[in-house]
Amino acid sequence: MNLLKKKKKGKKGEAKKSRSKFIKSKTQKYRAQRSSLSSNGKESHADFFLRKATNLLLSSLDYKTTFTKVVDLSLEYLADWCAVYLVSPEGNVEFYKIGYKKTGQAKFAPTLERHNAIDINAKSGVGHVIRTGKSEYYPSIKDELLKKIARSKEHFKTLKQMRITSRMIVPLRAQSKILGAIIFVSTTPGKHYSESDLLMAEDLGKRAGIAIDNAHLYHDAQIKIRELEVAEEKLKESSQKLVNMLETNSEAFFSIDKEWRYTYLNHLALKYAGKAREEMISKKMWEVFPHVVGYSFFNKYQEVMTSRKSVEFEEKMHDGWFEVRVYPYEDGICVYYRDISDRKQLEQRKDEFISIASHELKTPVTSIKLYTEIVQKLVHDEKSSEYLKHMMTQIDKLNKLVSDLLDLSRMQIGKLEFRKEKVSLERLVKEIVVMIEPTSKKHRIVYECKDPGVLVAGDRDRLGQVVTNLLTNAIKYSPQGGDIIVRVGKRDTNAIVSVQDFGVGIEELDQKKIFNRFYQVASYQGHTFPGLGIGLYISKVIADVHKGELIVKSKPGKGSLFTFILPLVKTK
Amino acid sequence: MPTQNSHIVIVDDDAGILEAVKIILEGEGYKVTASSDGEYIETLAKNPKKPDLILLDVLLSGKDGRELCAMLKKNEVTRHIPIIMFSAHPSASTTVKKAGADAFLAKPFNIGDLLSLVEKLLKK
Repeated sequence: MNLLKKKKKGKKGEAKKSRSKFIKSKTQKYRAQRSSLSSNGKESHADFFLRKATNLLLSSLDYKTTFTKVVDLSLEYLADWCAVYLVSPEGNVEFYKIGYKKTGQAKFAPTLERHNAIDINAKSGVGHVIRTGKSEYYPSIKDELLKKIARSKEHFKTLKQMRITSRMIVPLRAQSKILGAIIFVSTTPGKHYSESDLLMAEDLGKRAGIAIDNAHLYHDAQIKIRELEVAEEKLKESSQKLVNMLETNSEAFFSIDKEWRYTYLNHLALKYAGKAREEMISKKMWEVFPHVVGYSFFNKYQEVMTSRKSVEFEEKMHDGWFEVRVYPYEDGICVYYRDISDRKQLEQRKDEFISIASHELKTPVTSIKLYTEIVQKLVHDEKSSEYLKHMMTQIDKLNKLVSDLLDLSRMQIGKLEFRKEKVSLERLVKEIVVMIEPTSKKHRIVYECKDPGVLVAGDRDRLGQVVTNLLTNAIKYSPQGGDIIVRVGKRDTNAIVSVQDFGVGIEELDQKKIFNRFYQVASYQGHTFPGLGIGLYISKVIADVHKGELIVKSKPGKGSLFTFILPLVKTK
Repeated sequence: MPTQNSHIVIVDDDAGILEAVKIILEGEGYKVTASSDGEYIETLAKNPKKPDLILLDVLLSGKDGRELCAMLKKNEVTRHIPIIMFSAHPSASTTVKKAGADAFLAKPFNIGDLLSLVEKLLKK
């Protein structure tokens, strides 16, 4: 049966039939028709057309080329004119293709193409079909309809001249998405589209829609695959770069998983271990080094493994010194070993030099000091005595600098010695206040002691060194003069000595660094301050040795409060 | 025993310090022998005239004052002589005590500290 010629009685002349009115019953009829025809062993026209169209649609993922063929197929079996509109990825409706069967109709094509702009909000036509997803079906065409379709007089004239007999517009549908629309037009006299034709066209629309969707998906997948390939290549490149970096690094590097198995070792790590990669990879640390457990560095690894916080330390191994940095890495740890033997040697030489130099400096200082004292006893005029007193002050300053340097060098090699005796803080601090007070005419030292019996255990001279340092700093850093408050007291189980000045204060950033060796606050509001930057470092070491603390509170421009905290001697 | 006529020996390889200490001690009325090397100490056991006090530097040129101190303290005839050792290294106080020195004076010292220590040891 030729469905193209099939017409229903009573349907002719109907301007437009609402799809909803017949869709259920007609779809069933259409399916039954196709099914019964197929069961007779003969393929129906609709099946033949749709099979060919499906084969074409499946033949390529380049759906635009395929569509040209589908249009040609439609012109052969279903329409005299056929036009395809597609929805672009940006959501615009774009005219894609127009085709016509009879050569004599070519003259109409330019006018039709000129009037192919689509209004998506239109109440009928392509825009409406795409917007609503509902087909439009015009079994027969009257002038009123042509006037409605036409965009201009010229357009109307062309449509009229084409002698259109029937027209239908179906959506290109993929699941719930509308990807475009196809217009089928008949200009064959007496030929009007039937409902079966409409259902066949809709079927084509669905198949074509799925083909477009598949092509889109394939295209998207291709882009994603390419992106993934590029990303994978980049990842490979960076991994290789990373491995190259680790391999050529001047630091030994290795990683260990949570089971303590080596997962990676760079060239230098293997060299230090004196092993081949295959002797270590995937083996537990103690399988490779049976005595590793209990070593201080292993304890540090363990600390990072459980705390998941990085640790840095220095370790003497074999004949050299190493800076070791341990970080949590994945579920295990990674470890860097940097050879710092040269630096250590240099530091040692520097400390030795400081030690020798300061010792050598003390000898002439002793001579100068003694001769100055001798001369002091010989001269009796006031002016000379005054000058000699200044000389003595400067000699004492010089001596203090040299002593600090000597202390520093001994601290570095851990040779600074401390006595342990009971020390009355009240007496010690008072003595220092009395000694320091005459050194500045601009300052007034206010001494407050709430707990006169405060006793601590330690080296009296060294503890005095800390208090002296805090007090001389307070004077130095309050150049405008004023009060300096020294307090001695108790807090819980600790003894407290605090020194408060109202001078230049310390910036917050500097507060963390002032206890570092050779650190000096560069300047404050144009003031520069003399010194080597080791006094607070030495004081901090002394505090640490006495299991005490040295803390600072300060505000720039307001002054500083240094608190020296020491454990009290336990009384029975 | 009167201390002002006492005989004090000072050994230091630095001529400046040696001279200054000599001036100071002589100024206080002591009889002073100054020696820039350890030779005087090394031969002291055989010397019939023993000093009342020795001031001895820790680091002498080519010699260790602590060894000389230990030698004197081991010898019957010299062990009674009080020895004050001095050094620019404050921590030497521990090692000089091990060597048997009676007191330690850290350089640079002042005249007052020196004299009070000398007097204290001479009175013992």
